[in-house]
Amino acid sequence: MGKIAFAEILDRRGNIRERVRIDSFPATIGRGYTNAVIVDDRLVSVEHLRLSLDSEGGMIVEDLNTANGTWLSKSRERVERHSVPAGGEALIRIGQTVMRLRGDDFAVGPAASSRALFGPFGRFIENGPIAFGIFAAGFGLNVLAFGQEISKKVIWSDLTGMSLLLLIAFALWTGFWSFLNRLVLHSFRFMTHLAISGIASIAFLTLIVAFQYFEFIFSAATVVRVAQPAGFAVIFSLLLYGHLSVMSELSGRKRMLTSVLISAAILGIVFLVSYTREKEFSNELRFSSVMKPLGRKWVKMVSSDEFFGDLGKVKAKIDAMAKEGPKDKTVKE
Amino acid sequence: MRQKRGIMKKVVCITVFLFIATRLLPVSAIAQEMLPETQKVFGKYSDRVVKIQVVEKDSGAKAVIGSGFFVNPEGRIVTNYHVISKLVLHPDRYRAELVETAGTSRGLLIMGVDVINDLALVKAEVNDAPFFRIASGEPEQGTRLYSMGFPQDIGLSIVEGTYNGLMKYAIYKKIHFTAPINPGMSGGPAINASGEVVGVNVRSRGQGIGFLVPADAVVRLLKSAGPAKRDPQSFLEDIRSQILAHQDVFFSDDLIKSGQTVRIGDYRLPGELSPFFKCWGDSNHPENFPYHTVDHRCSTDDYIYISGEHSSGVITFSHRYITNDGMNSFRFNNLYSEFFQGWKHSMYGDEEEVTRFECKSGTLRRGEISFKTVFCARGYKKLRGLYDVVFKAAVLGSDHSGLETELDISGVSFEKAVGVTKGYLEMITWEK
Repeated sequence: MGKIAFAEILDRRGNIRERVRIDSFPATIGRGYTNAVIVDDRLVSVEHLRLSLDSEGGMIVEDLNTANGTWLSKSRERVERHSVPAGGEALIRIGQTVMRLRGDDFAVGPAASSRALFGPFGRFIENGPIAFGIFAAGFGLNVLAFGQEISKKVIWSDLTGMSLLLLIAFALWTGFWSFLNRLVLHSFRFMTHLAISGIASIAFLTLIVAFQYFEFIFSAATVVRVAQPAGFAVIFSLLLYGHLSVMSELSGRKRMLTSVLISAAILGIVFLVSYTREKEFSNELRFSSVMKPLGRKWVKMVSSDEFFGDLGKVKAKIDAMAKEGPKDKTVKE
Repeated sequence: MRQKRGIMKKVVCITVFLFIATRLLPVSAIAQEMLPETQKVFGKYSDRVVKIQVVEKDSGAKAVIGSGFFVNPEGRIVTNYHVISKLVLHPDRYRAELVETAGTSRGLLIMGVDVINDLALVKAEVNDAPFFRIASGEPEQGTRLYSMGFPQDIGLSIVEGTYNGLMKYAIYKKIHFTAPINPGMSGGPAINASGEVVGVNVRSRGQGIGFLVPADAVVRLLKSAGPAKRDPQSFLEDIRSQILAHQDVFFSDDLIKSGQTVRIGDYRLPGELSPFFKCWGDSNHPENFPYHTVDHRCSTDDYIYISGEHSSGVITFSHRYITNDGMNSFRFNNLYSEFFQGWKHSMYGDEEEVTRFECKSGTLRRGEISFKTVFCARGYKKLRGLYDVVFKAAVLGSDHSGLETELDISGVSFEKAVGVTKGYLEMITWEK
């Protein structure tokens, strides 16, 4: 059997739009209907390229004195003649069309495994029933947490309403990523994305509860105000990373960079809004009112003298704000 | 002959005229005695009452309308502080004027303020002004008084009412006057039938209940006031000193230590600390909610006017006892947190006058009781050294019941606020 070559016409992202098998040489490539590979590009000549075999098992690509020339894609060099060694490939541009030329002796790498993306944990989220179970756990825990916020006696109507809203949120979010997955990789992988959303919802809930207890135990509202959004940003970036790992062929580094940038942008906006709101004048009181069912021994307490003795910083802040006051005359202490 | 006839004619005319006149005079004299007393008072004293307006400089439009009255022939006028407060706080934007009967106006300068009693002494450039004398001593209960002023900017009016004595438990002394004092009459005099000033119109609660500043406060202001000053903001120091001096009298340590307590649930809490406080209580058993509450609230009744958006000198505190009727501890603590998050203070004020609140939270232990506490305060920008404070505390450690309490104090020094708050917390005890 003689050498077989493949002319692969690529789209802008480097994905194969069309692959044409060439098993007879020399073969021509151009816009005309007499060519072995017909390229529908008005900047390509009627007969643009000739592809022939050399004595060493490789291929020779020749430009047929065309008006717009033949260009190497990577080096952007115009060539009259270009050799493709045996087992190699050429990436060329004719007109506005990028084409990859490979022989059947071109070696391809082993199949990629999605398990490699998530390690040993990956098989759980690939497994339909387990993935659904993970989502159900996340959903259930969130509904339970919401149930603790309700102060009415009969809470079923509120719970049902909240559950429905949560379900819709899950469906929309997972649906969005599944839709993207379908576009890129021609499969939905809904359960996998659902499991990732479920894991993230558990992580968000854990973060919220952990910070509430921290705030209560240490009376550390200021620390929590900064750390909690940062924690949310970390979980959100991991969530994005998980979805991107399933639905895209970006490298790990690019996936992480994309996730971190998006999360950082959202975090920046949240901090900006929060900072602006804090500096705005109002007659509201802003303080932490979190209370948890914890015994005294777990909570950091001070004496009455310590609490009231430490109010100097409050006074200093207020006095500094008062000094920023109106420009006309004021009475000083 | 003709001449004689002419003279006779004149004599007859004059005689007839005199006859008629002598007959009419007694009638008119009698008619005058029969006019209502109020009309007589109005006719005799109305020229001593003036209209005061505070004008916004850029637009020339009236911002405030009030009344005042002359207390000496050289143009000293007594009015309420709240009538001219805009001038004191924003002299770059406002000016005060005396509006004369003909519609012309004269500028006013401030000579003194008494913010505790809501009085001000201003001066117009007039000579030989008709003026009121100040009554000495208090009239008898039931004495008829006449309040004069310019209600709703519709012209000088007089209303008669009854002197009902000093309000027994008002921090800032007021006369209870049964008469429909209307907005615009603030600063006008309430006089007796002899034309002596017994009080100054200051406030109305509607439905014929009015309040007057007693005349002795006017006397003190007249004695303490200095010369008229061109810079109204120079009185801010006086206002600040007056409020601080007042707090020393009112916010004494005894107020907290020897105040009455009230028992709610298992706790003994601050109750009617002094007769100046009015207290109310209620319980709430909402249907379909797994908890019920008992509320108790006390407040002083009166306030010091600083500006249209900001008043001071009030103490309010409230307690809420919550009983859990079947929630698990997580739900109960979430509900408790929700209650604690709310606040009951009604301290307003705009950005030009006060800072925003700054809060400090903590968890403190006092004997057997642990509290989650929040201390919030804000400062006065134009009256530095004065603060408004909100203190909240919630008892921790039980899933069956909760107690939250809030204390609001306005117009105090920071040190005084801390002392009062600490004392307030120490009054809370647990009784099995």
